[in-house]
Amino acid sequence: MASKAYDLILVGSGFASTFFLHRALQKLGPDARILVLESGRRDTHAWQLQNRSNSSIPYQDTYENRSPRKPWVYNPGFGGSSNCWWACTPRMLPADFELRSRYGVGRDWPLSYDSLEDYYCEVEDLMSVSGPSEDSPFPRSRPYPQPPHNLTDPDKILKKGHPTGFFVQPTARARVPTSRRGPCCATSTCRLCPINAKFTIQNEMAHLFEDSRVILELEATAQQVLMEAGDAKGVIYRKGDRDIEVRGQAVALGANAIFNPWLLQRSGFKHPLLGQCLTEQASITLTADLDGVDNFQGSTSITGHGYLHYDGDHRRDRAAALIETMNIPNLRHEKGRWRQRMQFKFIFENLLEASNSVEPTGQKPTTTWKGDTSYAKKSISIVRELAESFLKPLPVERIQVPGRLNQTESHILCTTLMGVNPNDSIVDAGLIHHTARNLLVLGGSVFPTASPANPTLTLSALSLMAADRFLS
Amino acid sequence: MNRRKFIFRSLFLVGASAVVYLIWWWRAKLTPQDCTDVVEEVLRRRLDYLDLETRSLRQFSDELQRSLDPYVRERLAKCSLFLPVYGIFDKWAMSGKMRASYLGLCEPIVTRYLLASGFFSDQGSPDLKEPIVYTSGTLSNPTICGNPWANLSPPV
Repeated sequence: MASKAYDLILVGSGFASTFFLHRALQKLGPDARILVLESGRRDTHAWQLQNRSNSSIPYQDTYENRSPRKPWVYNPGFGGSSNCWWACTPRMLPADFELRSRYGVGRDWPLSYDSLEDYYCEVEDLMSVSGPSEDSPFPRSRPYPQPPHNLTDPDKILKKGHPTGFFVQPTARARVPTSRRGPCCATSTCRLCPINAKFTIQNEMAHLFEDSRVILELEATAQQVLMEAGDAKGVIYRKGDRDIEVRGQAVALGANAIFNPWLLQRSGFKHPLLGQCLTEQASITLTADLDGVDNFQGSTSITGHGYLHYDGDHRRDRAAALIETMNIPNLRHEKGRWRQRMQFKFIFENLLEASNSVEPTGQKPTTTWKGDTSYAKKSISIVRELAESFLKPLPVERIQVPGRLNQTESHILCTTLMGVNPNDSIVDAGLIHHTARNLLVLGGSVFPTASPANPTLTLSALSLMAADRFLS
Repeated sequence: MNRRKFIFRSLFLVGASAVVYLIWWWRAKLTPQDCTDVVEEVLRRRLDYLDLETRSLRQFSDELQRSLDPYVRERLAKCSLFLPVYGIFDKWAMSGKMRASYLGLCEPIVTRYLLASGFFSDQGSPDLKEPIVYTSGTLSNPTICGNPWANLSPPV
């Protein structure tokens, strides 16, 4: 084993780590040394296009899944899941941070929407998010950096019918060119954008890893955090068949909600909730046939956001739902009426369920998924009713509700919960471990609830906030 | 019917059912991974008002098969069990959960075929009399701006 010393060791190179790194480079001096450990390879956009894959390492090979019907999708490799995400960037609503206080279910976050608002704006700027500045469901202090995308005709009718319940989706799929990206042209293959129009770490933030203070170690899989006298002293990682020990002043785990708890478990941390409560939102995609209204005119793949069934007193009893309207051509099989159809997705929040978990078994983490909570299922059971009220402004001929939920939303959450009380959480509001005060845990694993909003913008904002607090 | 006849007929029925079941099971278990026949049949049935050029249709189904997720490919391949009675199955599948599952498999095939073959290239007013010719390779190369109706006009 060799030994080196760093000011900061970051595990992972996805959203959580990279936004933390962005702030760390602003805060730390010119002599700072930062090591970033990435278990995957640097599969460039060109490589991805050529190989029709986001990663040269199948995510399924990286962990054991006891419930294969529920895949936990992420992207091993430099830039993490920014390579494969769909770039949907809603904020969470203020009520999402106060679920317990307002509705008596779930948990409260140990921070408020207002305390995160500046960081939300900063991440939106860094991602060049396109969105409706004048007509947004979130309280905002600054306009979006890019104008909103064009809606489809059915979206426009929905907007007219639900002026305060339907909005243009904020997204990091560029509306106008940035210095590094062209505008989105609605190809609808966002997992692998053929023109690199969506924000990724590789296309907008790769320069951070070229800073002389940063050493990026690829194909370096963190194995455990070195602990001495209650503090993190470094990391042991595996490269090839060698185990390498590196020492650092601080360690930040920005892997994901499978690997963050696994690393803590392997490092000797014990807590009844560590690795428990693995969750994500439940979703279902519906189709509606329209009478005389043509679709698919939008300028990006997902154009609208319905908030009709999101916040309200129903959350005391059943899950909130965010609705996405798709602009992905999914044609109707009737001569001449090919475009008189729309697809829309209901995304339901989930509560925490301890039996859904990550455990350390052998060299890989093992995931167990027992199912969605009854809180989510209650809303899912009335999805047709919810869809009918959502589509009321449109001339709908029929609504098709599939018999099964979507397999995954590709959001992995809630396995190292943040909270005020060390007895029921792993990290504090600054994402610092309750006992090891130079160890941070970043990313969706710290979410104490799984709101219907896509988590990326929030977890990126949390990383900026955590870096600000920790490095101050 | 005497008792003996009844027993024979019952045994025959049970035996015949078992044979049908075994054949079904065996085919389902050993269904080839090839789903090109299903793809072509779905397209011919669903687009029976269009003239689909046969050779390029075969090319499309080959390319689509290669591009499909193995799970979807296998499910489609299993649909080949129904090919001999496609018309009946198509109607039977038009209700409830079966409908959603079936449509979930079939509809993307038709959509991808129509989009990849340039059927809508003329701003959504296609000529129904022209034969549909799929250009080989279109499916396997990501089409830039693949939505022919997208309004990409710059913001005002």
